[in-house]
Order: sequence, then C-alpha cells, then structure tokens
Amino acid sequence: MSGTEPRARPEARRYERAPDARLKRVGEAEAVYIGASRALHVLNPTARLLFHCLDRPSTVEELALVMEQLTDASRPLLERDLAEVLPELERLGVVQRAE
Amino acid sequence: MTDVRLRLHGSLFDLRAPAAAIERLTLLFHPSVIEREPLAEPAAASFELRRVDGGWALLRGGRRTPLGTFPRSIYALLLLEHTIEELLLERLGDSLAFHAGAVVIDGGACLLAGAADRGKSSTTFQLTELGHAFLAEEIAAVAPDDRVSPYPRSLGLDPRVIDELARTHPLALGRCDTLDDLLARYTPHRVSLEPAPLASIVLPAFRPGEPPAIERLRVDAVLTELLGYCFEPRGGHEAAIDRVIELASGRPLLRMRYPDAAAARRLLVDHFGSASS
Repeated sequence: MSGTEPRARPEARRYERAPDARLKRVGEAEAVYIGASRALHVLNPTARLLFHCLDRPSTVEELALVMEQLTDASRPLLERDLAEVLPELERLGVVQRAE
Repeated sequence: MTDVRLRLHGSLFDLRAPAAAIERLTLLFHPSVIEREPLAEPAAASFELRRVDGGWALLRGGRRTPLGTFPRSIYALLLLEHTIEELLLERLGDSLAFHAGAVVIDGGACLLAGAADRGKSSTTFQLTELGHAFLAEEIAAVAPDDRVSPYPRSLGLDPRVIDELARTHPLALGRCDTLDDLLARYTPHRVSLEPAPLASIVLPAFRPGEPPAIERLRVDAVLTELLGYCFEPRGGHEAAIDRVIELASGRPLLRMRYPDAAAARRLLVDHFGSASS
C-alpha cells in the first residue's frame, strides 16, 4: 500500500472558481480572464451558469441540484453535462479542485 | 543638409538629411513635416540620414552605429518610419493603439483593424477616395475619452491594388507614388488633423473567390481577434481586454469580406456612402 491519500470519487470532488479567474461582461455574453495564463475564455451558456453557481465549493451533484432549479434540464442530464464541462474548465484554469 | 521636424501624436522628431531625401520624406509623412523653428520645444528623438559608401545610413541622434544602411534612401526612410512608430507606441500614455487605419465618416472615426494583408490599408485608401477624411494609417490610437488620434502619414499599398481600382475609378482625392514593384504610397489630399470620436470598427477581410458581404459581428465572437490587433497598453493585457470590450460594445462592429478592389468599393459605397457625391 502506498502512503498517498485515497482518491475521491469523481462525484465527490468539490470544485471552485480559480482564484485568478475574473469575469468580464462582453456584450450579451460573459468571459473569464485568467491572469496567470493571460487567456480569455468566452463562456457558453452551460459554462456561464456553472461559473455563477460556483460561488462556493460544490460537487457535481450539488451543482446539478442548483442548476436544475434554474433551468428546464433534468438532473441526470445536468450531471452528464457537468461531468464533461468541469474537467474542460479545470484544464483551462477557470475552475479548480477545492481543498 | 536640411533640417526638418515631424509632429506626430503630439511628439516631435527631428531629421537632418540631404534635400533630395527630405523630398522623399514628404512622401511618407506629409502633412506631418513642419518647419523647425529655433528655440522650439525639444524633440523626442533626432535622426540623421547620411550618404555612405554604397548607399544611405540612418543614424539616431548622438550615436555612431547606424540603425541600418541601405542602397536607396527610401528604404532608410522606411526604417525611420518604423523606428518612429515604435517610439510613438512607447509614448501613448493611457491610449489604446490598434493596428489599424481610420477615416472620419459623418464626424465619427471608423477604425479599420486587421492583420497584415487583410486589406485595412486598401480599405482606408478606398474610403479616402470616396471623399471621407483620412485620419490614421497603421496605428490608430484611441484616447481615454474614446477619440481616435490622427496619425497622418501616407498609406502603404500594393501598387496592383491602386492600378486595379484606377482602371474604373481614376485617383481623384490623393496622389500615388510607386516606390518599387511591391510598394506604393498614397498621400490623401483630405486629412483630418483633429481627433474624432470612435464610431465604428470594421474588420476588412480580403477573400479571393468569396462573395462580397458586410456582416455585423458580436463583440464576444471577435474579442480575441480584436485583442490581436492591439498594442499592449501601459496597464497591461487585462487593461487591453477591458478597454477593447468597452470600445467595441455598443458600436457597430463589422466584417467586410471582399474578393477584389471593385467589389470592396461597391460594398463601401452601399454601406458608408460617398462623401464626394
């Protein structure tokens, strides 16, 4: 057995906004600027809603619950979308795993 | 040797050169060449164009090593133009500079931004030939009050673009000087020397084989592209983003696709009209 911590199940991971991700209003849309990488990412509707819902560290399940109340989408569908979107936003530095 | 002074974006640049070279300088910077008055304010930088074995050398004031040596004086003057542009960009303060041309249409500045070879200079040229006052070429700086500063220099164009257009519309509102097979300079007669409020942003797109069209753009769809046409301001990259968003939001933002000069002229007449008609 190694001495590393057991890995969290994907659905138990908590995500939060990256500390240097700054939201910008761009006409009708919104974008996130990442200071460290000098990158700007225009958010699609799902990512935009997700970013706003991440006002505190949350799991996929918690996010899907909140987003279900704000959209017409079902929770299983939202959980599937989040499972795709969150790793991509994490890769871009828009969100990160919460401690 | 003759001494002249250039006033550009409020900065002064001095040049000492043989009279024949000074005449060529006016091809590039007319109408920014002004009299050099004794006891006038000091220049931001001074240069000397000197004959040397095999050509011409451009020197920066007080330095022995030339910035460059060229077989023809015009190429040394093009280096002078480039060097002055770099110095101007350092002195823009809180303005945001775009790699763009600009003309004044109905009192407002129309910014024509784009990468090299997309057609910003030829579109600026065409609008000027339609009677709209020329405002800037290559660098269009937008001040904190949203006004575009004049940068009155000649337009660098491919001689073939001028020839193509001149077949149907002979030059009427400017003068063209061909420097070599690939480069001509167009000096517009009607130049605005006053800043004009930013009214619209056009992104010309020379696309051979595609149908001509002008389409309205959403700022979020072209924000990254627009940022690529900016020179980073004193406040840094994020300041540029905030400023571009501010400037592009609420103003017409257009992409003009055109396959040739004649199609571009028709589009421009339809959309902006002709000030001379």
